[in-house]
Amino acid sequence: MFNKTLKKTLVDNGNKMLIFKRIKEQKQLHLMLLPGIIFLILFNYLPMIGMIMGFQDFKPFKGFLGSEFVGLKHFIALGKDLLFWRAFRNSLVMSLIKLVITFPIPIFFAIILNELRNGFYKKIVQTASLLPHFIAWVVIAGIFQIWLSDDGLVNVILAKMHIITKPYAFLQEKQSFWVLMAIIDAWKSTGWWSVIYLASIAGISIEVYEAALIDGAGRIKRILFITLPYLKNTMAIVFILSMGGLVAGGMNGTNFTQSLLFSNVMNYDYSLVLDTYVVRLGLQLGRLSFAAAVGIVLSVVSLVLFTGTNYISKKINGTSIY
Amino acid sequence: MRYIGIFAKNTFEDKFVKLISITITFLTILLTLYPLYYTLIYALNLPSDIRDNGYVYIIPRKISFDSFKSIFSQTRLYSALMMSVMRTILGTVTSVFFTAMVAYPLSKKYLVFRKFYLRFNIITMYFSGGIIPFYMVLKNLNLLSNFLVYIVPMLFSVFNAILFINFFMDIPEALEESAKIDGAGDFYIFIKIFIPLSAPIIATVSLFNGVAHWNDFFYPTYFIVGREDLYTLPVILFKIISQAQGAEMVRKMLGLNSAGIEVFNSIKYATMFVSILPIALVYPMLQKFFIKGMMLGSVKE
Repeated sequence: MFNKTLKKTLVDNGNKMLIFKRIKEQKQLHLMLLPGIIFLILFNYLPMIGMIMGFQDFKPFKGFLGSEFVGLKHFIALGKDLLFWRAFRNSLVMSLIKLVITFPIPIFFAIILNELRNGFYKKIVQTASLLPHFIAWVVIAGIFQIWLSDDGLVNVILAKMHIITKPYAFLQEKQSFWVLMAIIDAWKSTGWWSVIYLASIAGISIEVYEAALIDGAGRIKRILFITLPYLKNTMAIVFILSMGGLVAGGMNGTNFTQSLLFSNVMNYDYSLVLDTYVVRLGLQLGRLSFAAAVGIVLSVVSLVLFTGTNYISKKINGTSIY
Repeated sequence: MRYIGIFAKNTFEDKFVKLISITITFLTILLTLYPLYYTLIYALNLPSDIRDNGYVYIIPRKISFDSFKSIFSQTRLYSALMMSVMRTILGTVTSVFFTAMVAYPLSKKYLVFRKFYLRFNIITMYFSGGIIPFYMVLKNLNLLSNFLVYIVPMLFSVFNAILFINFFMDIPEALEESAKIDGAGDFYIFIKIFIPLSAPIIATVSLFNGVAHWNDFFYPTYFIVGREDLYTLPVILFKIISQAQGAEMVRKMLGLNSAGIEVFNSIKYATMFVSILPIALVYPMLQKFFIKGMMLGSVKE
């Protein structure tokens, strides 16, 4: 006992004294790490510092140090900006609809997939369901835009089935636009998220199912009382991530991409989201400081939602990301 | 399911659940594959036939390769395709190597300041400075309108690094120790011992990375200005899509008939198919690796 404590103290002191010697020994490891640190400083930490331009009247030729500080001027202007609030509303509503649709479907799908016998068919299902995840958004937007246009495939089929009499402008009506974005998002991401749930299901020990079977629980009861409760922690983690993305578009954060690809003159009022607003202001109109201020609001709201949900989940459920 | 074989009883309930799962999964296959398959049949069908006889649904009626030929004859499309290929290959190779190299030291528990380094990485996953400051950084590094803007900002990804770290930590320490006794340096051990043992994770990360490079339309749209020779396939598609939207609206407002739209759509579909094909071919081969990799990652979580 005494020996152990002594040894530990010695090692600890040794650690402190020898820290430089140890770094020297690990010189190669630190050198391998260095490019990564430089990368993160350049492309992640510098932009974080660059956020101060939201508090400046930033002039590119004057730089961060030369530009004049104007305090909260841009944020006050934001509060009065109609387009900002519209983008804010669209971001939030679209994300909420996405959350309602894209969150439960992969859970359901993973459970269904798990009920299939391992074999060729199951593999085909998984390959097919995952494929859209790897296809470019540009391609998906291209396909669905042609399909959903006035004389597109969807309207033609619906007319043939006598469900509609005249073409419905799917991508131009407010309600259908938001819901369609969520459906397309789910179409693309269900396979991906179901892999994560399937991984959790694979962790359930077979004895639990055996015991349930001996007690006479049928398939549906086993799903409801074993599989589903077991997925609680994974669901909590996915939910926390989704809340963090509540302005960016739920767990897939697709508002921005979809808004860029699906927006047109007719649906501009409900397809404009905060990120598109930032890009238009900053990169197309050159109002860099104002755009950076919108970006700051976006980052802060996301961070607050993320840490908030994480905290609540930790309290209620015992599950948290950090 | 694992317990089916052992306890198969085939009650009514069993059959019912089985029927539902097979129906739903079958519908899923149709729903996911049909839109992708459709790009092929439309592009292969003669456009004038679609104008006269309506859409094709299952197989092309009159086959014509004109739309595919036009991709390779139009210099703009062809150069974009080549640029996409170049970017994807160069970008994936450099990024996978860079990420693995940075992840290697982080997988060593004895690394001094390891905790600090890990935090330094993970913070960037949850907080970002936003697009405008990022754009300013690219501008100051002279990366705008430069081929390197495709490669450099995508060299490293914390998410992929974590996958590498988890994998490296599972490789037995004895291998490293015995090599060190023989006097090998860390970089040598990384190249000669760890890389050859990491095929599954390299395949997984290469897939993620390659797909990200192949599919990206954001960088060329906003970070390439006035250099159309640097355009990749997705940005051309993006331009075609947004132009088509505009064109379609103008056409409707003026009440013009839809002649010619089929040819345009056919070329669009052909371009999309060319963009889908490499992924549809490569990804199923790598699927088993990355599903394992993802499972490993989530079990550790």
